[in-house]
Amino acid sequence: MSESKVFIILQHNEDARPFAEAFEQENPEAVFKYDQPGMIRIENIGELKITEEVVSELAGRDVDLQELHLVLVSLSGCVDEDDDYFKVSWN
Amino acid sequence: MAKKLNMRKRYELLTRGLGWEPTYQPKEKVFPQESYEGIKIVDWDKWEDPFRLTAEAYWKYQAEKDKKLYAIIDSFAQNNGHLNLTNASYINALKIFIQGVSPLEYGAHRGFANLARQFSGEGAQIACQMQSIDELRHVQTQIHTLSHYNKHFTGLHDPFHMHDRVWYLSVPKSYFDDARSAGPFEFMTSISFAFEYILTNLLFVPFMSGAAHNGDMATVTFGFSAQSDESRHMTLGLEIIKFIVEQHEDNLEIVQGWIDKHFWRAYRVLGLVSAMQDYMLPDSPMSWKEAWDIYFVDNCGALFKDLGRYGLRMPKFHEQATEESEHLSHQIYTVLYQFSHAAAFQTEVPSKEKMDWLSEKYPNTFDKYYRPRWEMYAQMEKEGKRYFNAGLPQVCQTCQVPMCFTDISKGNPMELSYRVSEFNGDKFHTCSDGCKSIFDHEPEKYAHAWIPPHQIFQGNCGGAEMPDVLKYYHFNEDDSGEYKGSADDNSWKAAHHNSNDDNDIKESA
Repeated sequence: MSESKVFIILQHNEDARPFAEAFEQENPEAVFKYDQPGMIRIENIGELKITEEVVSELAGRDVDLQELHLVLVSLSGCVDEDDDYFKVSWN
Repeated sequence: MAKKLNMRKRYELLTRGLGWEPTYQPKEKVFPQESYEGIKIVDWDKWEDPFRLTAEAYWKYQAEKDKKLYAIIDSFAQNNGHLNLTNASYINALKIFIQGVSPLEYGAHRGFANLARQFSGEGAQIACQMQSIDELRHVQTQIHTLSHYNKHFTGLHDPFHMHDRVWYLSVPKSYFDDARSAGPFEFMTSISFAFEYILTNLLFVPFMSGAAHNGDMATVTFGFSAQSDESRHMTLGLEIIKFIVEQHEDNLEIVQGWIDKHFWRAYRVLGLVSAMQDYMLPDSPMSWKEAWDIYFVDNCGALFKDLGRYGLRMPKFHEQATEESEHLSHQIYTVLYQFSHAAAFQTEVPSKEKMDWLSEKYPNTFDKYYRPRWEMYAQMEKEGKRYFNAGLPQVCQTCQVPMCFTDISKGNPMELSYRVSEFNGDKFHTCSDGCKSIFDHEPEKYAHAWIPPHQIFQGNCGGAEMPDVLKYYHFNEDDSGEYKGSADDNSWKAAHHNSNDDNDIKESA
């Protein structure tokens, strides 16, 4: 895995909460920053990944991972997504 | 009931197998722009959109974003949200945004609609159509959001007319015109990659955070709504670069040349953003230099490390951009300050608190080079001689920014930087090695640039006197000049005076 940093910035709101919590749970090394108003910045070395299962569990309903589009502010890295996971990484 | 198809399958059905080989006309005639730039595409089917959105999902999520946004805009207007800003001087940043950036969104809408027509690959056609619609949504939501401010503040009434004519707006306009008058692959490299991927974070993220910091809920909301599309565009921009370079070995050198050129062009446009961020936000959450370090130095460092295996390297002159990051906003805002009598926004000498913040954020440069200048301007203002530059500035033939930059990369931060090229017996001036190198590569293109001061002198901008030109720009009397005592300043103070009335009366009694 690459040594470079990837990041995802989400809106800091209720719709983003299950996604942010899933990033926290599924990427224990990830760093969360709240220093810019309105946003959550999630950084990690190499990759950040979430699964549909965990996000749905945290939301308490079936979540379509593409709902991420509603709360995404920015990201850096190559995106790989399917029905059951979403991943950003540097190769 | 049939099982729902998975994401990959749905995307494949949307983007493959709907095209056909033309028989009435040769393919080169149906897609006349696809080959002349020298880019060779062997297999369009290798095109993959990393976000595999179907039309159904696209419309569903976009509708949801709009519903959210318009609910907030309504509530903002009904509750007179504009009165909760930190200060009306903040609106000057919004003026530059709607005059300078929103028309670019419209330009992007048109550009991507053209690409959807010009590319023969169906995956690319679909991606460009969606982006074209996104960009149209951005310009519409920006106009709708800022129209509330237009009811209460100056300078917001005719941004598209201004964009096509006004001197400082020719900076963003000429960049987009440059990309739009190029071929489809160059446009894509310029807008999707150099602008959207490398630099757009520097525009939207700090700007929206700045809006949040200054009580501008409406702008935060349209910004985030647009930015959710931008992350899709950025991701696509990166995939496109890889796609083009993987298609044929001859493509690499051409694409690298475009990355070099459009990085520098887009970077020069963002000079305006640096001034907004450091000087025009009453309360700045982050300096230009800090944003540059995070979003360019760190982020693009990682990006180009990844792109290294395709043979791509960091854009030419990126070191100079980084060296300039401690000077850029100060030099640009000085120009805006000096010429704001001919601008549709107002400026002022930074307050004492602002200057202290700038000293803290720019420990190597602000106190040494820029504070003395602001103190001099403050002194002149005190003596009733608020400084406006009565001449017209010479502007760079490539980026069209007034020649305000100094030779930082040559170790001369006190010396104005300019470069000279000759073409067809004429001399052309550029502001930097980056802009000179772009000019020298396509002099026949840039020799034709519509340079605002030249056009004014030639009598093409409404007349010979400043008031004629301002009328031609559709400026109103209250739009320009010094912020203190401006119509915006006065109405802001009047609106916020009521709550203090009692105290005032007591104090005077």
